Amino acid sequence: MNVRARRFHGILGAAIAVTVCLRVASPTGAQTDPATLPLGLLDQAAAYERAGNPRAAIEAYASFLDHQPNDRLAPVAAYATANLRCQALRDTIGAIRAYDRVVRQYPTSDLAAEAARRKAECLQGRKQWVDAGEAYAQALTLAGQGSAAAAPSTDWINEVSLGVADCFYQSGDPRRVIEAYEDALEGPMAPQPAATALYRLGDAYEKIGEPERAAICYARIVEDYPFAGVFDAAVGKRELIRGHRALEWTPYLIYARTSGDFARRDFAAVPARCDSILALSQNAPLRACAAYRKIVAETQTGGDFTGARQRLSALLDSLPDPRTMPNARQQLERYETMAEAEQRAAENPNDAGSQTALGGLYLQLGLVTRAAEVLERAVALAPDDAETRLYYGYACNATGRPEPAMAAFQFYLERNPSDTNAINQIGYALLQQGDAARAIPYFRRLVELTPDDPNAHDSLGEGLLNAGQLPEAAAEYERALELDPTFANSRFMLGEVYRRLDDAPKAIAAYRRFLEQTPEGPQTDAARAALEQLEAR
Amino acid sequence: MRFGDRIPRRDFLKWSAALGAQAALAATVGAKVGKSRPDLAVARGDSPARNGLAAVEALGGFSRFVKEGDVVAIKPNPIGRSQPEGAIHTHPELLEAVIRECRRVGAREVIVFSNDERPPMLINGTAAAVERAGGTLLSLSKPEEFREILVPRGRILRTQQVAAALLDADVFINMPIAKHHAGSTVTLSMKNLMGVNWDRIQFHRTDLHQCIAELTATVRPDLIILDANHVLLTNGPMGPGEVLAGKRVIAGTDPVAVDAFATKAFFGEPGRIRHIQAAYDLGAGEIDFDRLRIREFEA
Repeated sequence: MNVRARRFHGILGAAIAVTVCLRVASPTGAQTDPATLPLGLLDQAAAYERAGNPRAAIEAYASFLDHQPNDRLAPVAAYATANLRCQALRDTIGAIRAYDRVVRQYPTSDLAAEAARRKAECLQGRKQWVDAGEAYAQALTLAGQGSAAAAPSTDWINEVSLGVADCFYQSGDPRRVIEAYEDALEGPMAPQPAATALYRLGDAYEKIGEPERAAICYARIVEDYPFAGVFDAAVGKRELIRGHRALEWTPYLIYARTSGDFARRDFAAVPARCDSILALSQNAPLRACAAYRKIVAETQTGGDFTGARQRLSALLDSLPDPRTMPNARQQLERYETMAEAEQRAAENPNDAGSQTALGGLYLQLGLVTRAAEVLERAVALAPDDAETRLYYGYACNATGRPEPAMAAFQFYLERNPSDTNAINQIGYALLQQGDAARAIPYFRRLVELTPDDPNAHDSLGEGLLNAGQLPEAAAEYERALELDPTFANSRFMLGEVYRRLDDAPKAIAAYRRFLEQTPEGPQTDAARAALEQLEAR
Repeated sequence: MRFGDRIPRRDFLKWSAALGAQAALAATVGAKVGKSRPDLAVARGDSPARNGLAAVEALGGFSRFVKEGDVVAIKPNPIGRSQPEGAIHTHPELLEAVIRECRRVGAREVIVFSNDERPPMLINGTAAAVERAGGTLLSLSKPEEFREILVPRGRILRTQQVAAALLDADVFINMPIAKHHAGSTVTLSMKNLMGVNWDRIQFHRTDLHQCIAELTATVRPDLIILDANHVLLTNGPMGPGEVLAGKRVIAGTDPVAVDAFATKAFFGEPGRIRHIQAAYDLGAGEIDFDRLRIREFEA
């Protein structure tokens, strides 16, 4: 917000509080109300931030820290200082020192882990690989020490873990990778990231020729973390595990098959497999996961969201660790939302908004046929509503009806010509019709509107690839990866493009990097197969 | 372009000088100035508009917040197609009254904005209220209508694209309505900030509550006027659901305090709402009612 000279009234209270604070802290020893102290100085800092004066904001935070180093908000002040030095002043050395202060002085704060991570990023930018690797490792160690609300996401852990590995790889010391993961696993890591760390640790042991230790890591994932994203990859290591650890594999293999079922959206096969697992295994984590997948599959086919909400809620209540199965908790929230939306739509059959909301939710869950039915009703109720048309377009596209999808998208786009999501969807609708030539202009428009969005370049790459313009497609995927080196789809597609261009070294490099970043996922098997084929040449 | 880059330096220096002047004033008169006004004003009565005006009056009146020639940006909750009694959107009568008061005390322009589509605003009375009061309604839908700002206290967010209408205004007034929300449990002043930014999906993909708190610690309103004349207790944010005749407006400058108070009044313990607790943990406001001066009265 633009702050004008004459508009000090909005921050009058803060200014007064600030002044009082400064008076207290000053050598004159003036009196103040301690209750106003922390928020007053932080408000002053925020006012300087919004006035575009990061140096003054840093001074306000520094003043706060000088006088209140043990206040509950001291970590916030120290952390904001570091961010301002890094992002606003581009002072990486100052930022590193400031982040380090957060880590050293406030290691149990909710901000410590992220501070360590950002310190690592600064060090990485300066190519101080060992220091950066240690800072990333420290971030992992600190990740479990904040409050439960600040528990890092799996994505966060994956990115930081990759940071550790990348930095120590760059430093030429793979044993440090192992050291970092071993240390991290000794701490109170949440189940999901612990599984990821175990997988990377196993991988590192394999690379230095310690298969037994690798097998122990993989076996722990299989037995203790079937809900983790790396479970299927760990099951893929069963030949290695068999040499060192006895496991009754049948229920685990059945469970791994359900992953394939979900990837193919073949939900009908899942409940019977889950019943088999429940009959064969007494392993509590595996049984919980099987019960969960059974609920999801049956709900996906039967659509009883109210029942699913009750069943899943009971299952989650029975888990000893509330951090286990975060996906299931998100799923429960979806079921609750769905049950409420269905009830609302049923009670208000002539309300377009209720129907559109329900249709949108069906789309999110992949229930495209139901979505199309509901949204068709919504369009009839509110034919001029652009958003309803957009959702209807998505539904038609997903149910294989490209023409009505195109009409709906065009309707929306005429009213919202810069909506990049709609432009992207139209492009893909045309690709689905096999009309790459008509799709490409939409993707080019997308790139024009959002030149720094890797997904835009990825989409254009796909359009060009479908049109057979392989070098141009490669250039777009390369551009997407310049903007975001972790953009997995572009990495995979780049492998495909180079393979088709018969550039084996580049294709191999792309696939290897993809598999490092994405050890499991819908494209993983295809990448592994292509890589094996290329390396066998 | 980063947050604040567009502020002319002379303006900033003048603003800094003003801050210093106020500081000197405060040093002279001490805490008495601050103590004379409540942190929260809660006005009760049958008229949404009268409640709103009375609550702001208790805080020092509109002239405390808006000066002659100011551009004022107001962010209501403008969604849904229902009548105000459905408690889905900020009551148009209240919105109209606030715009009129801003203009009465000298606002050059009053912009009512939100990153929400326009058609519902045409149906639910928001657009008509803005037009009657002489404001300008902006339904933001293009990325170029937003500018990047830093989020220095952000653990998840590093930057945000925030409405240029807000960044360029002299005064920002947040005018939410009190509602249940399926995702964030309640939607009050903090959740209503999702609408001043461009990418709301990011919030849902990462950690909704934490992101709301981080945005709250960054985008600070000059004034919050929370519409609790009708409160949606269930089936939020779009309803229809159980509506309580709250018959009050809660006004203040501290988003944590406003939301904590409204939560306690209508939805239960504020500490249970994770974004309120998280915003307090980031120093975005006060959650402890014992440290707040609260004035409740009949309008």
